[in-house]
Amino acid sequence: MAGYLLRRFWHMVLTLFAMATLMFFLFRLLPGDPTATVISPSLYPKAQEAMRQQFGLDRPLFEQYLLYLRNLLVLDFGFSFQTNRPVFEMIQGRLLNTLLLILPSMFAAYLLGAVIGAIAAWKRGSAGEVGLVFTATALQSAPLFWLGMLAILLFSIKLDLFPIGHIVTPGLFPEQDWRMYLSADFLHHLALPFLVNTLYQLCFPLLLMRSTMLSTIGEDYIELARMKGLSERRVLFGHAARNALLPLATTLPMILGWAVAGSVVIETVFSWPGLGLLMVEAISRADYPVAQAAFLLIAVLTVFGTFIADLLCGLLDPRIVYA
Amino acid sequence: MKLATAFAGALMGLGGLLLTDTTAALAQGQPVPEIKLLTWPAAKYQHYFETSNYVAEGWRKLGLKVTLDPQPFPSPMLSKWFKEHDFDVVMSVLSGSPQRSEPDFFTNAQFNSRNSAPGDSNVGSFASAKVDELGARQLALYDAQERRKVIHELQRVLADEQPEAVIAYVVNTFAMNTAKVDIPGYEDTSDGPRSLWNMLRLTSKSGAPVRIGRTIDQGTFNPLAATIVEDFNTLSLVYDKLVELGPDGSPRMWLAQSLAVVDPTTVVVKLRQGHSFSDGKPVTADDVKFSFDYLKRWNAVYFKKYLEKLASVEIVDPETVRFTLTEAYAPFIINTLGQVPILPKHVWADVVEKTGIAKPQDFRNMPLVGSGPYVLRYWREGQEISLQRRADHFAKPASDLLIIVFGSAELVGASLKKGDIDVSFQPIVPTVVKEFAAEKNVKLIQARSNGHMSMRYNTARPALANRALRQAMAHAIPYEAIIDDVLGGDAGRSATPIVPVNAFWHDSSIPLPAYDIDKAKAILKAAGFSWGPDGALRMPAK
Repeated sequence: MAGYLLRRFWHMVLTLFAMATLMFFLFRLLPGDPTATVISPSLYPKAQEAMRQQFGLDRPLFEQYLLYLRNLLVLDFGFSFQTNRPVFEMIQGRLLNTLLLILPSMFAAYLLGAVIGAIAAWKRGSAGEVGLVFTATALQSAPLFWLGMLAILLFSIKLDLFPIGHIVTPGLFPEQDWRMYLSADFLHHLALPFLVNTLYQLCFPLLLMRSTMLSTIGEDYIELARMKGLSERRVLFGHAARNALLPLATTLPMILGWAVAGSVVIETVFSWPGLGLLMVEAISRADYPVAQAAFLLIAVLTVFGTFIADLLCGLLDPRIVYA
Repeated sequence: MKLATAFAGALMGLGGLLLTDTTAALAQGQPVPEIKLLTWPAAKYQHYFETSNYVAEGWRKLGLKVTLDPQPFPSPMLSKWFKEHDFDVVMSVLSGSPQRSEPDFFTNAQFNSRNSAPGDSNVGSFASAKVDELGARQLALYDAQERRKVIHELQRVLADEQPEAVIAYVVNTFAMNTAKVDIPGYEDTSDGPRSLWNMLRLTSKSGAPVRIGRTIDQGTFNPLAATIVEDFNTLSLVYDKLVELGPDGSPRMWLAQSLAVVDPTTVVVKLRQGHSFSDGKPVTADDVKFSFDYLKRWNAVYFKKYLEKLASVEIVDPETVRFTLTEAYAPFIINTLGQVPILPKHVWADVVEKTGIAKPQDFRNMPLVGSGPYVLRYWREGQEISLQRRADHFAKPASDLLIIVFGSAELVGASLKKGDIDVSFQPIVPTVVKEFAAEKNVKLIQARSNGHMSMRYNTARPALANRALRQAMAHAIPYEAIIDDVLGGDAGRSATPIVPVNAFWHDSSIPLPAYDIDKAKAILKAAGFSWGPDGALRMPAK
């Protein structure tokens, strides 16, 4: 087990190194020059030069790369080109906002998805099941921004049940601290993006649960459980669903990084000041350090999530042996 | 009789035809080479691309061969445009911004032959002794009235020389909720309600802070680190400058009480008395000198260009400062005195030593101490900026402001309609303007941009060095069709690059070139151009 962990750890480090390298060069291949945001239309040459020096962009690319790697080792993400502030500090607060939205909605999506998926498989062939599968497939294929816009149009503008966006009512919390997160106003703002995101994320675990359930239902031990005279409910949740949970449990940590990356859309639609919105801004302003760090963070979440998923697999299924 | 004349006419026509035919081989010049029009990518900048398409279509009617060369923006388009000058004609879009009202920007800076180096503004390498002479002359005239006369003459010369064909300026539509706010004495500026003059007048009817919606978050509140115009617009609310750009483009005294030009390189500024920073300390000549020296010493990138011609700043007495320039330079008033924020020396002088940062650009600058009309109460990144008016400020700001950041322009509009915000600082998309006009409490505010779009000629190309050709091309652009079809009517025309909203400097007496193919052809003919048998335009014979 220890040997496996060590090996796995090295794989993670290698993957992240490759990701960091890719990210570094990818952003430098992008069209756009960070010094071009100095507003002079003619890109005033001397101001450009001064900026290049300030950001270290005048040095050879390879030297920039080595410096970047060295700084990464000590978790120094550098300074934002746009704000001159430490990137780490900028990302911190934004990440919290993103996690507050994404984590609960992923949790709800998986919980609901598992239950509804299990029932759907159990009632296979019924009109309800057919309708459900159709709806879930349709929802999953619908663009998230479109769903969000529709929700705003209906629930915020027409019915006036929820605010149009933001994390709290602007102007309500002049204090710059955690108190706003504990307010009813925050929950009121969280509700709509949470619902939309949950609905959207629900489809994947639901369909996955349904298809794994379908293969579980055919197993002999289900037949045996029935023959023992257990109630339908017992058989469904106690025996069938429990054994179908494995793929679901292992995809959750993996998909987390992906969900954080997906926050770009939901946050833009709901003016939610999280990591996604920061990424959009950073890219449009060619703020390499911020964009790099944000993408790297997502990569770390995904890689680490995959690692957890691997461990979880063995934990949940004793048949898997680490060698 | 009639028949006889017609017959004679036909004979003469035939004779003429024969004559031109026989002389053609001798007298006709080379065909005008194909014109490559550098333009914007169609997918992302559809209306720019479509505008260049309309222009090309018009020019083809003169017998010109025009091909569009759309390039991805910003790269490589910007480098082809500004560095390599790799174009015959470029679809130039110089967007508006308050500082571009300084009249040098759209005239002399763009067309003086001294500014033709790669990366500089004269991208078409235009050269005219008259423009150079007038350009140099206006730079030495500090008196705005005197300078205006030269700027007007410069515009007339440019209208005749046609180093660029000015197509249109855009009109942006903003909106506000009249049930909640008002802007008494609204100033017609290029920035609409976003202009400092109108923000100061923004009056809340309930006494609550005026809620402003926009999509751009502040990048920084540190003036040394800021680089984009939106950041500086907000900084103008919390920091004062010596001079402020007036709504009509002329300079107005601000923190300066008066300004005297002693000689062409010496400007003496007398400070307004009794004004203080938000922490109660008075604004002195010491702070003024410190601010200019500090921005220069620490290489604040945005100000680099504007501080270049400043040789030294001296304190004459606690309320008087003397600026010495390296050469006579009238834009110093608007560009430099009108942009450099006066920083409190007692906050910044030892900020590097005290906080252990490498350079003042890294300073968070919170809580912010400035002398501006508003005090920054708090800034929640990506969300809101709360500004409290200073009742004791000489500009007399009307209300507190709350600037709210949205994820998209559509939401700003929806929030305005719903009543969540009071003013939209985001221009409304032309397609929904009608929808907004129908709302009961919504008032639309139209603002004419002080930027413009134009066709810039590369006059280093032999054909385009010909002034008559450029003049003719100005008459072959379907201006009205572009404004109506492509720009949805939200645009206006100007005969000169200093557009009408820049009222103090714009010369309104210059006639607009009309879209008139016959007139264009007549100009070409008079200049010795001819047309080949295939209809292609040929250069005048040598």
